[in-house]
Order: sequence, then C-alpha cells, then structure tokens
Amino acid sequence: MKKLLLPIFVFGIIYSGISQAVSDRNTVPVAVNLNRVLRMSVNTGGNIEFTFNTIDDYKNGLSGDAATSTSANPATSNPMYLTTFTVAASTKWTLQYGAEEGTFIGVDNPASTLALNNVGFNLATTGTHAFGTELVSAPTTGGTVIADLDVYPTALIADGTNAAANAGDATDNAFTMTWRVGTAEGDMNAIKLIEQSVTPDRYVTNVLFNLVADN
Amino acid sequence: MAIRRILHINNILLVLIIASYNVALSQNNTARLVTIIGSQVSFNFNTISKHSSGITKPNYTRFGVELADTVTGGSGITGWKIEVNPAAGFASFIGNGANTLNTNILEVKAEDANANLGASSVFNGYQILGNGTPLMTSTLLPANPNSHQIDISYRCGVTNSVFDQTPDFYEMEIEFILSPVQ
Repeated sequence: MKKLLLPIFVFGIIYSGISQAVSDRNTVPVAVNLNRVLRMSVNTGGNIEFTFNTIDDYKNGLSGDAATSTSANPATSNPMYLTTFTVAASTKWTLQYGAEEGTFIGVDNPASTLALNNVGFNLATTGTHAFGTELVSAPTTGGTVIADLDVYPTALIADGTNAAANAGDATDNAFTMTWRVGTAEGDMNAIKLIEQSVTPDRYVTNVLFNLVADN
Repeated sequence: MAIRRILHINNILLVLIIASYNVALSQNNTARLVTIIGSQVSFNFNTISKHSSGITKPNYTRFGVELADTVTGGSGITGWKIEVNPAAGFASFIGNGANTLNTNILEVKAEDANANLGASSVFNGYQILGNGTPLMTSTLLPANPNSHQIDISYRCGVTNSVFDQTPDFYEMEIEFILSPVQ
C-alpha cells in the first residue's frame, strides 16, 4: 500500500500540471536604429557690419539693442545687428564659437588691429529650451551678461546637465544673438572706442560656429 | 520477492496509463496564433522629425487566431486575450556593448483585421510594452485563423522620446501571447 502512495502523488503532480489552459505565443524581433542627427542653421544675420560715421557712434558705440545700452544706434529693433540660428540634434550637443583670429584685422592695412572685446553680444533663447534647465551658456552666464567676442573655440552653449537634455529640434533650440560694438557693456572692453584712438579702417574677422555632439 | 517486484512494476504502469489518459482529457482548449505577415519590425530614426515625432507602423503584423473549447463549455473558458511582453531575457533593447534602450519607447496596438470579431471584442488601443494591459480581449471564440485575424500596429518614440539616446542599432524580441480567459 505504501508503494502505491508515491505513484499516486506523482500522478497528482502530473495531473495538476497538464490540466492548465492552453496558450500559444509568437515572437517578433524588433530593431531600433538610432542615427545621429546634428544640424545648425543660421537663419538671419550671417554677416554683421558696423559703420561708425558720427562722433556719437565713437562715444556710445553701436548696438542691435539700443534700448538697454548707451548705444548711439537710433533703431531699437534694428535687424541688421541680429543673428538668429537654430540647432537640431538627436543627442546632447555643444556649440563652440569664436573669432578666427585674435583681433580684428584692418582691410586696408593688416597691421592695424582692433581688440575683439570691443564687440559683444547678448544671447537669448527663443525656443522651448531655456538656460538654467536644458541649456547653459558660460560666456553669457545663461544669457544674463553681455559677453565679449572670444577667440575660437569657446563653448557658447552646452547641455545644462539636468534631467532634461538639450537634444531637440529647431523649435526647442532657437537663439538670437544681438551684436554690439563700443558700448562697453558687460564683459566688453570698458574703454569706449573714442578713447582708444583706433586707426580708421575696415576691420574684419570671421566668427566660426561648430556644433559638436556630446555622446 | 519476485511477486512483489512484479506488483510494484504493475503499480507504476497503472499510474502511467492513467496519466496518459488524463493528458487526453485535461486539455480543456486549443490555442493557435499564426503570423501571417510582419514577422519582424524595424524603426530607422534618421531625421530630427522622426526623433521628434516618433515612427508609427500601422497594421504591420497580422495574426490569425484560433481558440476552441474542447470540452464544450465544461472548461470554464469565457473568452480569450492577446498580450505582448518583452521576450525572456530582454529587460531592454540591447545595443552595442553597454548601450541599452528602455522598452517603454515601444507601443503596440491590436485591431480587428477583417471585422469578424464584432462587438464581443474590446481593443485597448496603444499600450506601452510590458505595462500589463492586454492588447485586446474577446468573448467570441475564434474558430478559424483565416477569418479571425488581428492587425498589430507599432509606434516607437511617440509617447517616450528617443531624443538623447545613444546612437546605435538596438534589438530585442517581443512575445505575443494568445491565452484563454476563464
């Protein structure tokens, strides 16, 4: 009789195992291919030129934002001194920028130079990403300080290292740079141009932008 | 001694015979899930627009379903359902090296492919992979996979974005499970 107990117990286990409802399953392989996408578009203000032709221009400078500066520029919303650009990136990114040379160089006489820090700019976001969250801008202290023009390469905008990354499309990452010269604002040269006795010339430099993926 | 051994063998044979008989009787239902088209799916994110809006593949996979109550009501089966889950061993999409993607970027939806499941069926719309909600349930037992079919739609990066994920080629397997409801 004892020998019957074990087979009956085994039978019970088998019975309980095979009396389950029957299911069926199919497997589908899924692949996700993430290609890196990185693009910067300069929409307006790809060429900025300031022309000094009055004493007030030399004394007060010229600015695309006369409302908040001492600029002699009479047009408070002059689009001539604005650069607008967007960044579309599938991953975190850093935008480097800066002047190609260490100084502005005279066209008529290359020996004549003008210090880069006479030119400055304000940086503002017009997209959904903001400084302090998705974005950081060391040269402008998050868009609060008028920065002087630096030599390339300088990190102008980078990821804010918060949970929300700066990756996004052109509506997320849209910016306006409002250029000025000789206004002695923020980090710019505090000495007005009229005090510097700069040799009259046409001073030029290229400002380079380089968009780099972080990861 | 020899007689006891024979009795013992007889006991084992008796249990095996009963168990075999039970195998035939205890299968309360049959279930069959047949892939007709779309046995694999891939998402290629190559523009910012796709990263931003995600990629949708409507009606990409079609399953034929068949489920029958083999004891004609005695099994307690009241309907059936289809669920989708990551296959065993896939806690995430797997890329190169340590790169992984969360499974929640993928959403799946079931629809009645040829309108034969009728009002007896409830389709739950897009479900994030592995959230535990069945894609659909039905009280109409599908008799024939040629006439009772389910279309599966996929979307990736719509509810949960793939922005800021490390570029790579990621893979995983997902399982569609047809099971009776009791």
